[in-house]
Amino acid sequence: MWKTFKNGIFSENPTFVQLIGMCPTLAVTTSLINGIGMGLSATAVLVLSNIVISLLRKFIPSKVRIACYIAVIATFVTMIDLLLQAYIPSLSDSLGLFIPLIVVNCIIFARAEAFASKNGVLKSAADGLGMGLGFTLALSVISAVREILGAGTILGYSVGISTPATVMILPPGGFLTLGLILGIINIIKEKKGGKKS
Amino acid sequence: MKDFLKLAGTLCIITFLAAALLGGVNATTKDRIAENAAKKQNEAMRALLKDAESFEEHENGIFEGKDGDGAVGYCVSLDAPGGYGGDISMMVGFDADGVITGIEILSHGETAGLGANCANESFKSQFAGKSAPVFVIKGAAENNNQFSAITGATITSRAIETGVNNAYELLVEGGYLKGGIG
Repeated sequence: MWKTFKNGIFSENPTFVQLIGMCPTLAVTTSLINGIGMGLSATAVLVLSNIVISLLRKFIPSKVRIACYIAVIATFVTMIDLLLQAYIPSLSDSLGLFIPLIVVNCIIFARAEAFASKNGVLKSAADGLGMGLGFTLALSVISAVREILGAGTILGYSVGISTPATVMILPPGGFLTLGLILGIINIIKEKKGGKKS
Repeated sequence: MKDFLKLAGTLCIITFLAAALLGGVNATTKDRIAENAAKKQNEAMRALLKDAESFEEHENGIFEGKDGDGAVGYCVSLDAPGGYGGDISMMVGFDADGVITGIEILSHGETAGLGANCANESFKSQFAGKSAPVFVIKGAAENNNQFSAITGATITSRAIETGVNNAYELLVEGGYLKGGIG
């Protein structure tokens, strides 16, 4: 169980290792609060949908499984969208369009198909939580870098950069940040691998 | 045949449960969401017309601010077309003589760090005391009909310009203010 949970955060991190769910990763990471908000919302959907799909895995015929998964996922996303609008309107304002887009976030769909449909409820919940937190961690790292360099703030507080490089919070900055972080991770991995062999 | 019934039946059950669940969530959050929107609008109006004690709603998103003696000004809530990320939902305040008291941005889809700066106090505050029709210019404003564009966000600035002028026109057409956009 612990291993399943840890998998999602490190060795099979959806963003940095599997490179899935790139659309929200690049689009919402303009500020740390957006990254954390998106990550946690996606985590909530992921855990809930993994649990339900795991529970229903013997009931859902494989021919219509895709349609069933989408119905389950879309239901949870809409619920979270409405709850955010009602109880955390400021976050709902800044995430806006991206919450409904969780429906088509391939991380959630991939975990439903690859894990929850083949494993028990607890294991699926652990997998959803791990993958979700891995996604949140990745979004937080990317959005923190982009907010500091691009807007000169962190969580809205100034960090004392007088002329921030606006390009970092524009789309090119997303690609630059993601590419550089992936490069750094690869260097670390290679060094570790080199020592072992 | 049996297979077909099983497939359709399963999907039907799942979508039925989903609909029931969503209906429940919608019913519980609906009032709260409407309340949030009304609260936001109310806060914006209070910020624009500080002297008003109450607001009376008229047609076309026009709100008349009143104190004990009568109208102290008007707030117009409207969607400014032509933003970079769709319409910009904003509110423009005018005093009883038609001088702009300020603008508030209610919601927008502008680029963070560029167009999104339209919601910053430093941009919004320059509208107080201006007279419509307003025109956007680059650099510092030289008279009461000009305002400075947001650096790197000409499209957003133009949308705001349209929004402010449309708001003024609505008030003139409705007979609330004298004058017109020449």
